[in-house]
Amino acid sequence: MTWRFTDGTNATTNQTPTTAVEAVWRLKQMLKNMGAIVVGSGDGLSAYNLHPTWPYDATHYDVFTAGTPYGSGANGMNNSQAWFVLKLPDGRMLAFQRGSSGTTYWRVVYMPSDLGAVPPVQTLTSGSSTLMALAPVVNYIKGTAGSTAGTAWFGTDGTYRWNAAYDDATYAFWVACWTSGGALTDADGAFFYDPLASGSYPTEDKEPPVLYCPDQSGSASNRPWAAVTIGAESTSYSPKSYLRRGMAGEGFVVVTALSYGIAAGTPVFPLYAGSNPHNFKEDGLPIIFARRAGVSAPGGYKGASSFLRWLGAGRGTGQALTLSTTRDRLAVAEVSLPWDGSVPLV
Amino acid sequence: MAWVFTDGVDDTINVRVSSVAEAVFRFKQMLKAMGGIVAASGDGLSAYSLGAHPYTSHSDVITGFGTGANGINALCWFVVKLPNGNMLGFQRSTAGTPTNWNLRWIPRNLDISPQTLSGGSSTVTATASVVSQYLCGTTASTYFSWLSGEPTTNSDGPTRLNMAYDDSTGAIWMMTWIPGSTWGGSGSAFLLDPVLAAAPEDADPWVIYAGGYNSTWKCFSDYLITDSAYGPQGYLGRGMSNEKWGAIQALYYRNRAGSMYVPSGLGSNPHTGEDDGLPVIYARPAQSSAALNILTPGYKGVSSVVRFQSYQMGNGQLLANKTRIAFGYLTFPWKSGEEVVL
Repeated sequence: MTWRFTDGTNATTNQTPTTAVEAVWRLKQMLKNMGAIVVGSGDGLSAYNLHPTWPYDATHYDVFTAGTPYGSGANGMNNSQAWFVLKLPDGRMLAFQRGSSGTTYWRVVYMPSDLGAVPPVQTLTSGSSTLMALAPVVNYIKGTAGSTAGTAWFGTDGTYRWNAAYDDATYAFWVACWTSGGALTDADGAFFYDPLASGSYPTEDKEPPVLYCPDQSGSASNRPWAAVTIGAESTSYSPKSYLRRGMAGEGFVVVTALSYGIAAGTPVFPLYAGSNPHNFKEDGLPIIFARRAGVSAPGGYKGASSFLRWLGAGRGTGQALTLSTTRDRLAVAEVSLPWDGSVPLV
Repeated sequence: MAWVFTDGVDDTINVRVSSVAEAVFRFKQMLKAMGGIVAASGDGLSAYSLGAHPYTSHSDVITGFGTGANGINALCWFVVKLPNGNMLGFQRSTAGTPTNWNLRWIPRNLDISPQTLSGGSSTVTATASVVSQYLCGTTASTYFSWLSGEPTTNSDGPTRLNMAYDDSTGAIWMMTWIPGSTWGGSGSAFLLDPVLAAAPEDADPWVIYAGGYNSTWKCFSDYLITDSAYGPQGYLGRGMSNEKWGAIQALYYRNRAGSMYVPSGLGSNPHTGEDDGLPVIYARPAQSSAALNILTPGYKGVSSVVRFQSYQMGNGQLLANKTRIAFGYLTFPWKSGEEVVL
């Protein structure tokens, strides 16, 4: 497995998108480079394109071909209700739709891998340029089915750095943004798709991936990539996943990223362990996802992240860490992510 | 690596012991079976034997667990050099307190002489100048802390002894319990844990735990451990300028709001219905609000022996595949297929 930091044309690190739509378009381009197929799309105006047959060959049905594809107007993505559906290489699908409230407002839907022949893309989209993803098995990880407004995902256009990467074997990917200057605020966009570490979950779990697409909250207490959001139990700022998919009592629910602490409740990881006392490097413990028995069912253990690690000591967002190779990890809030070795643009 | 449940003569699980002396004697026999060398010993009376460094043959005068010559008497002692070079020192307390023992950890590569180990007598153990760390008791104590609790006979029979070692890593676990007790009251616990995923620069990647009378495994994780209490202990920065011997916490799994997940708050796996058994990770917190001395904080490693239970099981309960046994908040390797005598 190798982490990739390109969409095939442009680097996916150290970018400063002009709008949130550009940020999402860059994500789409990166996922296409990963092997995802655009099985349907619509520009929110009159153009749309739908893959005609399940299970979708490798042809992209991507209408965003304007001179500036993340601009507005015909074949641009920056129109209210513009949408696209991606089939990921592992068979799961993600649908994105720009909300009516502005460029930073989006709806994002996740569809599991076991839908079989159910969803020709017409079912997903109703064959329109403006409607998307209202098939029976869809899970909103941002926004709701009942509102086309969407919810805020990114900060003020043009004010933040955008970084993303994918793993070419596991198809894990992440997006991390921070305000220019290196400050991480509640308004910065974040996303991850985590298929979990091999062997860290039982084979009976048919839907391992954990997804994270926190809302912009307007509150520092809901800052992305921090234990207060990834480790929350029931908010719109938390990771979500299936538990018991295909079994009685299944649910697509919040799963919590567990911190490590001592008996009195004092946290150690993240942030309060310090550097390793023997080599003075960052240790970074793996993040475990679970849902506590005291929360509504279904509950229990989910698995270990395939790439996220808690920081052992507090670092500045955008600080590169050298563990195995030069600048191979990136500190963002309270976690570290794989990094491409470049000097991060803060 | 394979876990071994015999001392070469007798099984080391489901043993009913009649005295603490018998439990400690059997423990010594198991250490010898795993390749440990009794480097020196004394029976507390007149017999003693001091080996020659680097200790390749036994100098063991304790040949039984009764009293009298070559038995286990007040202030009798023995030092075992483990296959990895580390040493464990044991000494029984004074007359009248036969259940009290000193237990010490002596790190490897000390190149120490037998006289330094023993003081050259049948009743005196290491001098204060030797680098040894007390797991139970102190150098000055005449009433030592408990290593092993008082065996008790009740309607269910005497104290149980269970222990095992890993023949490649040198890991050891041992516990005694009274039948039916919640925490194994009046029992004891010992863990020698060669940690996994330690920094390559860690010259002493071990965590040692000796849980005494009425605590057994409870002190392993259920208290705010301090350097003056007997939780898990070990070195951080051994051989470095920041070297520190002290408490090393077994970390719980919580969310940021403080809710307990593991041990015991998670429930069984939603897909298999079984215990997930999350790894025990050792670290020394850096926060000044903790009761720990904050000198040399940091990560130590991952246990190679114990795992936390994801939901509370009964003491002595075997997991579904019968290769692990539950006790306290933990599970331990168990002899596959063997039932537990509770």
